Amino acid sequence: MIEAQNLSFSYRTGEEDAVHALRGVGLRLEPGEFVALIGHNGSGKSTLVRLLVAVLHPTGGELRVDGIPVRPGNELEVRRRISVVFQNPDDQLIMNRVADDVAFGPENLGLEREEIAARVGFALRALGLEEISEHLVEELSPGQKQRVAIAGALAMRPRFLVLDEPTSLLPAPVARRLILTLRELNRREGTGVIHVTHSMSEAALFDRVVVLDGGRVLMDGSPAQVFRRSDQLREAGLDVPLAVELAGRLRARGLPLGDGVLDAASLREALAGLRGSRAEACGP
Amino acid sequence: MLELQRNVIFGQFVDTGSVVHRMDPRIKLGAAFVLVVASFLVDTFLGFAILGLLAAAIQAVSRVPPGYLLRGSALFLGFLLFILAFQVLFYAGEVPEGGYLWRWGILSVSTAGLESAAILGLRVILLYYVTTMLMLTTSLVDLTAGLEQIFSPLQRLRVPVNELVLVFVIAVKFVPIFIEEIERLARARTARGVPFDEGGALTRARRIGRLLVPIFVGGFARADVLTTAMQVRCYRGGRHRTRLRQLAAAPSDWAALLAVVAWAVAAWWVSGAL
Repeated sequence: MIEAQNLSFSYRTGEEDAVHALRGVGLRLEPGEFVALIGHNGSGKSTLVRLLVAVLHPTGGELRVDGIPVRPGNELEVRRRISVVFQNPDDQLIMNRVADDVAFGPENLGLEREEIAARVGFALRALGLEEISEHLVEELSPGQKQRVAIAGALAMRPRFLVLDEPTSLLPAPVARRLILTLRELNRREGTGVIHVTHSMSEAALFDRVVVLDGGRVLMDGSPAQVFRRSDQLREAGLDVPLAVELAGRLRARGLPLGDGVLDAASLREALAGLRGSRAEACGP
Repeated sequence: MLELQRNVIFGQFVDTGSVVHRMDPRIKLGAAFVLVVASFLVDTFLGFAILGLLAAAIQAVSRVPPGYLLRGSALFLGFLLFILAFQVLFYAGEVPEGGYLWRWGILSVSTAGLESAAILGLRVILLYYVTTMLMLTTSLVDLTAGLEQIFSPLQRLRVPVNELVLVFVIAVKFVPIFIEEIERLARARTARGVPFDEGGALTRARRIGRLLVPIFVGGFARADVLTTAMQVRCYRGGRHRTRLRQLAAAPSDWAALLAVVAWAVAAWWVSGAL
């Protein structure tokens, strides 16, 4: 479980030009949650990610991972529980063969050889990389490299997998497939996923959406609950997906559309359902 | 257009899956060391011819395309020729009567000077070849594991072997990344009207020199991200690490090492040193 209470962080604390990246964040993430963390540039989401893996330490409030406070000295215990994947795989893949890079984390934990092999096998299978396990990392496509980076994080068998904008360098269909893989992993293995993004249509694929703005939690709820407040989202510099926007306007004109509209497919479904009920009402 | 990637292959790894690639990295490092020593001891053309045959044999067995190696060494060879020209022109050794082909002030071309420069050139080429082939045929993991095990006795003297090896490995890994960065910057400047392939040598050098600051800034930023990435994957120095791949030297590996040693000794012996 991840608990943040009144969590604050400032760069250059105490100086005149201090930057308050987080200002009193309260957040509670249960094990196995599938969460999108969304926010405009400078909303504090990258800072939160760095705090979650103890690269930074809170300057105010408290952050606990499975009850362990994030503070100097506890880095290793925190990082055993939370693995992070950064935006650019080229900056985080260390070894030059796929399987060797996935093994890098478990090797650092000082595990037995058999255990490392088992974890590497598991992570490669989960990301669909068995076929290319002996390939060279340089020869892979950006999407494949990102999968290798995620496999490397997963091989640590963390409670939570944190992905810091892993899809921003990928084409949309590849990004979508990657998120579906994460969903599958989350269902089967119960690994919690925190996906940082600024794409609203990606956020719609998650169970829970946390919106950060100016270092504070602006909204926290299901995608439907969050998308309903499109005016506030726009103020925070975030765009609501077109289908959701359209559904909102139709609702304002009096069409009885439900809350379930998150993308084009569900809008089509809702409209089709509407036509069906109207046909019944008119009768032959 | 500035094209470096094709002209610099130092630090790259070309996987052809050959016998040379599959050899135990410790054996390969040992063989490379033997050849490096040999290149210093041998000082006749015949000796280098014998070592050259061995290099050709390694090249054939490794299945690394010779064209790739040559194209990738063009920049290095050009630089070497430039240095060797000075070696010839300023030759300071004894020159026998009638040995001068051309003379002007302190500058001269003599048969003795040409010979000494040629031997030096062959020596440097062999050194370059041995280290390049070692890296072209050995993956980073194998190279790290091999280096760590060979130098592990030094750990008792409190030498941080694991850390030093990792620093070396990351340095090697960064060579192609740096080269890519230089090319990218050069392309960006070319697009803004800075021609890198026009003007005299000095003008060109000055234009490339101006890329240095942004390259270093970019390099530091990348190193910073890489450090963070390693830390969050629980890297705490090499002492706590275990390994997925176990090294095992097959009898054929030892036989290959023995063959290289025998060959190097033969080259030395032909050179008249024994």
